[in-house]
Amino acid sequence: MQRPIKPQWLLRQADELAGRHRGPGQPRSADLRRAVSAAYYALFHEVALGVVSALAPGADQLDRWRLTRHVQHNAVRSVCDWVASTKAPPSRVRDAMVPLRQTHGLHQAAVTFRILQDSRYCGDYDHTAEFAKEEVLALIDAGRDAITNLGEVAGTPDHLVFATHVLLKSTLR
Amino acid sequence: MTVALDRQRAADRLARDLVGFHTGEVRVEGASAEVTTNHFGDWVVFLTVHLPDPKGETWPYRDVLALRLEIQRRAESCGVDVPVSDRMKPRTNHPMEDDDLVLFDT
Repeated sequence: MQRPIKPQWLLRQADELAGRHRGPGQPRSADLRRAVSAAYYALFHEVALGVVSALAPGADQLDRWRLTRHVQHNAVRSVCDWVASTKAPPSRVRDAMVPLRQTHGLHQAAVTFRILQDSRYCGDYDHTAEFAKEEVLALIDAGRDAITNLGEVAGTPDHLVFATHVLLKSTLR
Repeated sequence: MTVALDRQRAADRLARDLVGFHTGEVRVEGASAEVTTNHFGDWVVFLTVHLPDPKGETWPYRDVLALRLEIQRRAESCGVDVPVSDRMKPRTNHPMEDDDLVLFDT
């Protein structure tokens, strides 16, 4: 039976892997690493679904799912860097990005995306990375909050600017 | 060689500088830094930050987020010129479940 990718399901999976509400003790390292990954993908898919909703509001569900395949991880990261960095964004996007830094929900989501993506790289590739349950649960909570923030800015002009730049940075293969 | 030493010194400065920082329920009790390359071959400061045990299962994520932003800010002022990858650890080191433990006989 086909079921789509739902950010909330990934967050729930992250919680289960990280041992939320299971009492003291550290889950397996492999489970903690996958929990970080699940939290990252929850946020990534929320961003991707939001981009498509903003730019193709009339598309049916199947078309939306297909269109999200074109939203690329590094494209989202680039735009999040422009929004979340303390340095000035590139001059070509400065006028668009600087106002987004004042939009609390978008700014927080961008900050969290960067942290989750970096953490996910460590979890998936760095043999020497050590994840504690406490930190992983905080990462999941941050991802959950970022998803809530994105929901609150959906449909706003600022979110449309964000979505447009994500898609422009994504290249169609 | 000199660049590598300078980088490590800057990372060590960052670690020392962070001790005592606190925001909300999070207080840095200790920190250590290692400068090495990641799986992409890029130089990174791997920073381990020691925090008190949380009151619940974890620390408030907003406090951890604030700490991470502070780490980035202080990294700049300490002269760290490569990305910082930070990990947070509680005071109590609970034993980890055995990754080799077989639950299902396949």
